[in-house]
Amino acid sequence: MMDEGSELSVTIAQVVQRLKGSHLHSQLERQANDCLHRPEIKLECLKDDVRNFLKKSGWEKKLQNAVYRELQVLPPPGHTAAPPQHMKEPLAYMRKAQASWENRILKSLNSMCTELGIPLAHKRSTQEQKELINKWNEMGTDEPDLSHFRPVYAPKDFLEVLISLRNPNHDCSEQANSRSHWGLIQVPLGVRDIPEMREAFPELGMMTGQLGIDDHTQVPPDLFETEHVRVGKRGRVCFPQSFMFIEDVMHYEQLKSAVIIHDLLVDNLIYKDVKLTASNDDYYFVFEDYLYQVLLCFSRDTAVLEHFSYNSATPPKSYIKDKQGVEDFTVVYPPNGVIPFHGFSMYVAPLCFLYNEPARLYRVFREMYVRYFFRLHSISSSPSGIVSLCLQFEKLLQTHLPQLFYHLREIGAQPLRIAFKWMVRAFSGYLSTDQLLLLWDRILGYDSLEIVAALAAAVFAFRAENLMEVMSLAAAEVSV
Amino acid sequence: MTDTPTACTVKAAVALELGETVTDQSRPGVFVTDVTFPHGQAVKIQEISFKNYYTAFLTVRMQVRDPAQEGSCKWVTCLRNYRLMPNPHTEQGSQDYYSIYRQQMLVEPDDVTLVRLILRQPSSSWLNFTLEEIKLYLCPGE
Repeated sequence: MMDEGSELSVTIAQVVQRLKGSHLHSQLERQANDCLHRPEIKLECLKDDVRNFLKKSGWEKKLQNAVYRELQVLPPPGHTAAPPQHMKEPLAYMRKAQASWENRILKSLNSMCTELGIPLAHKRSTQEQKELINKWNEMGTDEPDLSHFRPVYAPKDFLEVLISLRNPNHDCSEQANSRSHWGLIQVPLGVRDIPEMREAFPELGMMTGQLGIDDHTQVPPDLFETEHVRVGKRGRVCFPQSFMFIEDVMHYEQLKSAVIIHDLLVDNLIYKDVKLTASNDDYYFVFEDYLYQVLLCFSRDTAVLEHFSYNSATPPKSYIKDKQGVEDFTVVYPPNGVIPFHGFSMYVAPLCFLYNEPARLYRVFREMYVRYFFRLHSISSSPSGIVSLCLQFEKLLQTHLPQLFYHLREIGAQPLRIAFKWMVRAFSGYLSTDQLLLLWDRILGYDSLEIVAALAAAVFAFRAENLMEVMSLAAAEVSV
Repeated sequence: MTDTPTACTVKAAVALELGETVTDQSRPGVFVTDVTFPHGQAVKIQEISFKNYYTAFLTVRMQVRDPAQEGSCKWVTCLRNYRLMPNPHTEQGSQDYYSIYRQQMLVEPDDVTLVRLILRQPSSSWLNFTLEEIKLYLCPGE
C-alpha cells in the first residue's frame, strides 16, 4: 500500500509542529544546555551524550508523554480531497442532523437571553470584580436567583433527536427480516458484538482478576505494580505527576481572571446545573465550590476550540449586539464553544476526589472532555460516539437477552429510555465514585467509550429477573 | 503525481440485472460505469480517486492498446473486488474518499483508452449506491 511511510512523516511533522515552542520544548533546551558542564558529556559524541543524559534524568519520559498526548488528539490522516467537515464526520446525514440540533440549542439560548433581557456577556464593574475575587473559594455560598433560568436541554431531549435519526439511503421498509432491530436507534452503524469485544478487551475477561474489584486483602506490592502496568500498557491508566507544567497553572490563572472580568449568561446555566445535580448528590455536594472554579473557567477556555476539528459539532456563533447578520461581527459563544446542558457538571464531579489543586483538576477535566466526553453529546458515526453506544447497548441486549428486551418493549419500556441517561453521563452519579473511577480508568486505558455500553447492558442482565416482573416503564426504572 | 485531474467523461452508470424486466422489489446489485478520454487518446494512469456512496466492492477493468497487434485493444483487470466497506450492511467506509494508485493495480495502466468501473453492493439495506467525484490523474511528463 502506497504512502504508509509518508503518512508517518506527516504525523511526525505535525507532532513536532505542535510541541515546538511549548514549555516542554524550552525546558528540554535549558536542560540540554545545563548538562554541558557535566563531566560525562564529551565533545566527540556530544549529541549521543546529551541524549543519554536526558534519557536518564527522566526527560525522555516527559517527552514521550507529551508525544502520546498529541497523538491522542491528532485526527487520523485523511484523504487529500476530503474537505474538513468530512474529517469531523464522514456521513452527510449525521452532519446535517448535528447542525440542526445545534441550531435548536442556540435558538433556545438566544430566546432565553431575549426573554430575560440579559446580555450574553457583560463586563463586571470594579466593585463586582473585587467581590468575586474575595468569594472565589466559596462561590457555593451564593444564592443567586436562578428561577428564570432553565437548562438549555436535558439528555431526554437529545435522545428524541437520536431516535429520529435516519439515513435517507437506508431501506427501512417494514418487512420483518433477520436484521430487524427492536430498539430505538435506526441507523445502521457498525458496532462490535461480544466476540469482537472479547478480542479487543482481553484484560477484562471473566477469568482475569480486576484491579480494584477482585483485590485480596494482602496484595503484594509488586503484584499490584505488574497488574497496574498490564492495564496501563494500553494507555494511561492514571494521570502521572509530571502531567502538570507551569504553563498549565498560568493558563488556569488567565482563565480565572477572565471569569473575574466578564460575566457570561452561560455562567448562570452552570450555577443552575451545579445546584440541581452535583449539589444534590451525596458524594459530590462537598465539591460545589471546585465545580464552579472549574466550569466557569472551562467556558472561557478558547483552547477547547481545537477539538472541534475532530468533533462533529461546530462551535455556536453569535452576533455582537446590533450587528445581527454581519459576518465580521460573529463571535464564538461561549468562548469555548460548548453550551452546557443539564447534568454537565457531573463530568467534573468525580475527578474532584483525585485532585485538590484547581489548576490540576481543571487540566485533567479538560483533557477528559476533549478526548472522550464530547462524544457523549454530539451526533456522529464514531464507534465511541453516543449514537454507536446506544446502538451497541440495544444490540447486545437483543442478542443476549431477547426475552427481556421483548418483554420491556411490550410494556412500553424501551430499554434505551432507561439506560440513556447513564451512558450520556458515563455513569457519573449512577455508580459510587470508586467504581466510577475504575470505569473511567478503563475508558482511558482502552481509549474507547464502548465499555459504557457494555456496562449498561450488563446492568440489565444483572437485573433481568426483576425486570421480567415489571409492567411499566416507571416500575422498570426503579428495578434497575 | 499531477495535481490536476485529467479531462475525462464519466458515463452514466448502467445496472446489470438478470432477466428482462425491472421489478419493483429488487434493486440492482451491480452498476457499471465507463470513463473515456477526449479525442480517443491513450493515457498512462497514475491515480484514480473518488468519493464512495455506499458501494461495497469495486472492480476496475481497463481497455489497453494491444502492443502485439497494432490497432486493436484488449481488456485487462486492474483491481478485483476491492473492498470499500468493511461490512456492506453498515456505514463504515460508505461515504469515504479513496485513491487507487498504479502501484496497487494488477496490470500497469499504460496506453489506456477506456476505464470500466464495476460497482457491487450485495446488501439490500441501501436504496442506491454509486461513486462520486471520480477523478483520474495521469503520470507526469507525458
